[in-house]
Amino acid sequence: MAATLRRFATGVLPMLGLFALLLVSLYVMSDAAQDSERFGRLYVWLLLINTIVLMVLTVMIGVNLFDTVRRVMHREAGSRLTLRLVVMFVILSLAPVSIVYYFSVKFIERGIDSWFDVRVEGALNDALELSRTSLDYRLRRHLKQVETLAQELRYVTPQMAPHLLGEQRQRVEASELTLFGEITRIIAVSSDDTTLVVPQFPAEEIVLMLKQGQNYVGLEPLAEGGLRVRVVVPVPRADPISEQRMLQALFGVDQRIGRLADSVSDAYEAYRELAYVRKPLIQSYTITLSLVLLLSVLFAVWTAFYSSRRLMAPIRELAEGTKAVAAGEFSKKLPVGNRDELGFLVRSFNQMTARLASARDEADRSRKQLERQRTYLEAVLRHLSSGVLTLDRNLVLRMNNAAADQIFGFELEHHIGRPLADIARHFKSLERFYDSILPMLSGEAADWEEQVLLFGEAGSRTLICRGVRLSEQSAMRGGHVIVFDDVTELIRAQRDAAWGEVARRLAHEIKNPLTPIQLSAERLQRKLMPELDEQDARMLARSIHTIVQQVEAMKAMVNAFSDYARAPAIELATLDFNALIGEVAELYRSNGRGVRLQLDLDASMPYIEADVGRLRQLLNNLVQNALDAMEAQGGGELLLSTRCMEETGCRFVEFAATDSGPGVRQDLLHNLFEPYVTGKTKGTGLGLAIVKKIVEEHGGIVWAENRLTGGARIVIRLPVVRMGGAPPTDAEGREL
Amino acid sequence: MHTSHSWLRLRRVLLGLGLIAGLVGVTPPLHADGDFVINAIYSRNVDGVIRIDADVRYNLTPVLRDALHNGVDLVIEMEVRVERVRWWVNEDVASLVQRYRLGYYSLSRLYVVQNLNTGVQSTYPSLGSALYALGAVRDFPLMDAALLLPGEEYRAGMRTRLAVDQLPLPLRVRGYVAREWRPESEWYEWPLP
Repeated sequence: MAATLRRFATGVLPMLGLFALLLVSLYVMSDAAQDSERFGRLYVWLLLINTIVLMVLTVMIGVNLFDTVRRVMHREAGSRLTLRLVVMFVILSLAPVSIVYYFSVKFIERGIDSWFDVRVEGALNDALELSRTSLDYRLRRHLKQVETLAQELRYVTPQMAPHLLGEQRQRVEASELTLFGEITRIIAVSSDDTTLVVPQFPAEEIVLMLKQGQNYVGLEPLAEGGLRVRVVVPVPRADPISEQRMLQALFGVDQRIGRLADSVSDAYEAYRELAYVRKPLIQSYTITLSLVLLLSVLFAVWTAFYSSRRLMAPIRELAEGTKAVAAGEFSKKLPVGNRDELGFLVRSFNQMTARLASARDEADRSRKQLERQRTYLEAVLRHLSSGVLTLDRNLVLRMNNAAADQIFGFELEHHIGRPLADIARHFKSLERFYDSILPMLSGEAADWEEQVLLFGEAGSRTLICRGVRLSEQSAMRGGHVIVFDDVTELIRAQRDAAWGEVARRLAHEIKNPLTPIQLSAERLQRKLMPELDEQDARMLARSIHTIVQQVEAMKAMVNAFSDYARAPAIELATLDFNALIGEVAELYRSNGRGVRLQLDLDASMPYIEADVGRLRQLLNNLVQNALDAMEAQGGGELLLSTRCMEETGCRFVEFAATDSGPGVRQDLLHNLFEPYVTGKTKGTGLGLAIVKKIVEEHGGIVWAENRLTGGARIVIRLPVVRMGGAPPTDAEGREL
Repeated sequence: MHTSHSWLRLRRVLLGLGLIAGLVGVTPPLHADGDFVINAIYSRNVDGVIRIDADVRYNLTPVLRDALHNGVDLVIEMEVRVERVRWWVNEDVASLVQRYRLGYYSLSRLYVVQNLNTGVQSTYPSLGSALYALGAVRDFPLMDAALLLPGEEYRAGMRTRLAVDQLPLPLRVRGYVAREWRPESEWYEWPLP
């Protein structure tokens, strides 16, 4: 309802229609105000209709005004300007219209007043008076005549009356003579109108006048024009008791005189009427004029609303568009209206937003590209086996990769933004590293290389560090990029290879002369024994025995060496590691050394691919090693445990042998798995070296660690065979 | 006892109030000077034609007298209608309007009354006698008596008023707006025949 009203109030077509209607009705009204016959009857209705239409117009303007004020209150874009425009329009239109109105009203008053002239009025009065005077003479004459006739009729009988009346009428040239009795009873009539049936009765008032003894003479206008003189006189009574008669005579007035008198009378009356309605006439003109004024003003006001709205529409849209752009919405397109300056403005605005949008898109694209590159770089760094650190010019940590975390044993990521010196104070693993590279960082060299030895929980490690100082022009501005590799394993492998070579050569070089030595010694004993006395023979036998024994010992040693150096091809088969551990553990269950053997095997262990014989040897070595370690303290506990674990997408099984012995000496910890590194007084010193060799043959890793609660722990990780591999075999390689 | 006495007194007061209200409701409004009043109407059947005699008192307001003496003709309308009474809506049987023009003839200072329907014109030396003559309606033929069906009930009504639309245009607006420019009588109703 309200929306319809608003649409109606703001639409241009209803308004134009209304305006045309008002204009027509005002034209008709102004015509009607001049008392024209055409529209005279409509005048009042027109007045009513116009008033109603003007009220409708007022309501429409009211709606517009309310709407505008509401917009101003809500601080809508362009509303204040609209209001200002409206006020300006109204003032502009009101001022001239009011002036015209004021003077028009004045002119109407003066104009109508000027119709009336004292002299004209006087002349008309005089003319009327003149007519009266000239007619008065005639009236008096007629009166005298009729009085004479009345005297003559004093004694006439009703029978004689018609005859006498006819004679009298012809004498005085009356048009009609009537003799009335009491209560206006007609006694006799004489008329020149032969068709007359009933004579003209005098008014009752005249009869009363006559009863009071007065005569009546009057000049009467006729309906068909012209004048007539009526004279009524009492007829003297014949005797006191006779009835009171009266005589009425009607005289025609000369046509020319009658016309003149009529004309004077008409003009006089018209003038009187005009003078009388002067005020209402002015009022009706003023009303019409006021309606015109109101129409003009209201239409001007409405036009003000309409045109300001039309004018403001693009500006309002521009304002809204600007607001949208300010809010970061560049997709807003404004409708381009006409080709004027505002249209140009709108087009420019659209171009501007389009360019802004494309610039933002461009920025977005490059930001995304940058992001991609960064992600790529991060991925590269993450998968790099070398550790990477970047420092800014103040040696504050800016970036690191996962390999660096692994090498230093803590998550560097949490310390990004802190000076490296600060972090190094809290982490021992980093401290040595920092101390070693600090001279290079503060030095002048653009790039440097340094070998750093770190000591950690799992022994010493060797890092090769390379550093590059970034140029001042680059993004980091004089920062450093440090790349370091853990080469401990590499060095170890080199050492192991050297040891293998030594062992192979020793076995080869030493084993060859041992047999001739042994054979020669036995031949010496056999040849010399019979020829020597008992004492010498005993000495010889002892010496030969010593030689043979030592040669045997040497042979055993050389065999062990050759075992170590030998690298037979391993035969891989799918097997159940847990079952193998169980088998080996059974052998040592009753070891007679007071060591309690416990198993903690993960039931969800997958199968592994391994050489059964080699693994058995591995387990034997480890268990033997642990038993030896705990022998000195006269017993203890050995826990064999397995665990299935996943690390960075590669599946492993973990086996750990945890004993409660004295643990590994710190100085041995980092090269425990090298040949002839042992804390024991007996054995070949190759047990753990062989363990390590077997693990590496299977692609696994092994390390030893001391437990905080005492005892050592040796951990082996072996890779898991692919799922759906060959069916598992038992320890002897039989299919299960 | 005391209670019943008070009750009686209250009832008397209520009765009095009711009577006053009834009187106010029943009494016709007193007509101000300048209104038209129909005093009496007599209707009779004369040779198959219903004729009426009416006595109307015409009283002109000062503004109307003033206008009359300033050359403004006044047209007075006498409206008569006849209805057949039915239990739901009455049926119009006949209606007629009689117009009289009252003017002042300044040359001989006479008042002129013209029946606009017949054109018959008569003059009167005073306004009083002119209005009296205007108000004394005699032998006015209303309708053919044959139009009245036997056994049916008929009612006739009459009123008189000043024809405002016959006033000069500038005065007409006042005629519509101001009561003193628009005197009229109540409807006077009587049964026919």
